[in-house]
Amino acid sequence: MLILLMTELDVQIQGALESLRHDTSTGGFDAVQYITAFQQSAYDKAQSVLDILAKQPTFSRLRPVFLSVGGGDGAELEYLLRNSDAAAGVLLEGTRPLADVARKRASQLPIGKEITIFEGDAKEKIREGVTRVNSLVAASRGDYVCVTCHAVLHELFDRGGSDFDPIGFFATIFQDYTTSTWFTYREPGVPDKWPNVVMVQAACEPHSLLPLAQAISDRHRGMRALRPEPQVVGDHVRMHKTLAMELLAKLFYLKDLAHELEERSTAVDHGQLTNMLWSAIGDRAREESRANIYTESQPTQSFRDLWQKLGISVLGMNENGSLFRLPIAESQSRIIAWRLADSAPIHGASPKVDLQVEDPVVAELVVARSCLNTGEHDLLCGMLASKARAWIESARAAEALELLREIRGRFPTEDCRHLWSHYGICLGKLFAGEPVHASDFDPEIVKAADGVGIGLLFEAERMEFHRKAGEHQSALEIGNELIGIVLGGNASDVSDTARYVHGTAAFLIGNLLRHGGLYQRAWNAIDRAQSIFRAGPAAQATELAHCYYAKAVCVAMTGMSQFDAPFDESPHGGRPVCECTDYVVVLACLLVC
Amino acid sequence: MQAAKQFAELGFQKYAARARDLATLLGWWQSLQTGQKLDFDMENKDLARIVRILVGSEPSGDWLSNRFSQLRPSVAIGILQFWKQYGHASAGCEVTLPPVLETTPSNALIWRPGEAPVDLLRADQILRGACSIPVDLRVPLIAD
Repeated sequence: MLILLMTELDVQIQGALESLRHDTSTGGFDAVQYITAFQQSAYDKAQSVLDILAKQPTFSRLRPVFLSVGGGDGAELEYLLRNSDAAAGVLLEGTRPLADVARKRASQLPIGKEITIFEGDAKEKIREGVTRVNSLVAASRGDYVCVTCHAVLHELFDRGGSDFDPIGFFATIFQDYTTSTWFTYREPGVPDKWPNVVMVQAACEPHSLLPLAQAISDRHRGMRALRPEPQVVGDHVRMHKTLAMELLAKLFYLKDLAHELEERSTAVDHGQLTNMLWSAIGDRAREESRANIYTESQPTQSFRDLWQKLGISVLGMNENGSLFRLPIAESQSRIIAWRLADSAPIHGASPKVDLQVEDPVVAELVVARSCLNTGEHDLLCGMLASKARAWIESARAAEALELLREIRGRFPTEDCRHLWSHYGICLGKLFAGEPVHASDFDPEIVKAADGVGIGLLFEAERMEFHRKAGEHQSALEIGNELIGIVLGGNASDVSDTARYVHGTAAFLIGNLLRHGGLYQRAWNAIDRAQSIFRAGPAAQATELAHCYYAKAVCVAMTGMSQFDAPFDESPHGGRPVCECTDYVVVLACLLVC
Repeated sequence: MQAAKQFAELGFQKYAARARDLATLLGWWQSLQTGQKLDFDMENKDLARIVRILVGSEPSGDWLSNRFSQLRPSVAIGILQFWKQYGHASAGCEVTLPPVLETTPSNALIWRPGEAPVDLLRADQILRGACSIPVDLRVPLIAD
């Protein structure tokens, strides 16, 4: 009877665990076949590096020499070289069959492009690799060193013959002050937005998940020490979030369980590694604004796909014992750290203080950075609340977003500087047409935002991001809760922040209503938003411009005559708020003509 | 195209793409008015294919019915104007409608699903009715 109820996943787990019992070694592991399965992923990672570099004011103008650490069969490095103006790259790879494939790739590169391969453990070969790329820059084969490290660091903790010394590793990468260095890693880790104790369910019996969790605990002492011990609770297995993440990583790659079990996908503590990177970069470069570090976290597409395919559900528990659903974990964090050479002129890294510039955004960014460096908490928070929304739609958006990422990385989630920066970064993704996820505004961060009086704004954005992610029913459920709060009553908003929060929430409800075709109600919601905003602060002025556009759409779709803003004027008088909203208005013109 | 270019320069690729789509659709509309033959090729391949089917230059099939239901209601109504104006040859094809919002007696919002496929005339009537758009009002082709 039990067999009849088993799902395909139950059978796969059982088979994978059974094979562990019979073959404790990983001798049968085929590295080439394994890495070939990740070839598209290697190209995607390479493209994401090129995309990030293209957005960086300083590095986008320079020619890199690449160092691919643990870059497997060289697919990533080959892609980087073929799709950029770089001429040279160095690969560190410890597995001979993969290094052999990379040599073949190197031999097929176009004339003028070269790959040098150092075969061996990355922990031991890093010095040799860095020396080589620095010498290539010195020989004018490029302008700076670009180090990529994708899903490698977590392996270094558990694999290879020697212990991993991350601070020594980073210090080696940043050892040469005369060479500009740009470094990025993307690694899995512990989802910091999950509570410590979670309940996991998949498309299988919980009694199948439990032995898999126990097998992971048995293999890694640190996992064994985690509490609570994994236990079946109803339809779920309760465990520590670190073990839960590890369990999912193994569940997603059951075919290679013996290989995967040798490493921990949660070995990396991103906060700790960021601190170590700053140590390796040095205070002087930081104080001179010649260096920066920032973080981006998100679930990868493959992680999302597998999460859906295997019917994963992870729940947290409230204090009263009730359960709540957790968002898909941010399975990967990307850290970007760079330092310009002593001799390099500083362009985008930190504009020199010159407040007599024509573009006020430049001056505002300088002031914000100065506040960040001098610790002027209130001023920085105020600037972010009133200006950042306009920055991300200005011609200086790339610089602004870089600053916002830095600020977000420096402060804890509950800090207003973190929250406003997060807000700006997420909206920036939306405008850039990058994929957005409902988890960008998950309940945890909404709760944190509530602590500084902007919970309503974050909840409304949660609705908006659900809608933008195609999760229309979830968006509607939030919308139904918000409508009465936002559009009902006669709330008087005393502060500009309160005006922004309330007005934007009303505007976003208008977006939902427009999406569903309720244009008259949408018009009313937007009108409410307009009545709340005042044009003075840049953030509100930006939203006002969007209100005029949204109303224009309502008018064009229904033939209503209540149209109250001439397109040829800035909505708040004087100079237009920002370039983007000017064009939003232009687009509105195109739409209604 | 000017708006698209300037959006792109600012890094707002989504807005830029939408502006390019709109410019292309407006160009097609004008070309069809003057009886020119078109290759109906644009960046947004799905949108191009929908228009091709609606104006009768590509046979209809199950694809349109399903894809149409994923459009935003405003885009569905806007793009149906190609059929109303130029699509006599595509008469007979059916589509599943995208969900629209409606208000319940208790004043809550719900998504009303499209349910069974309907012909294009009925699709236009139902969608315009749900969105309170007059039957003869000319609306933007791809409003958001």
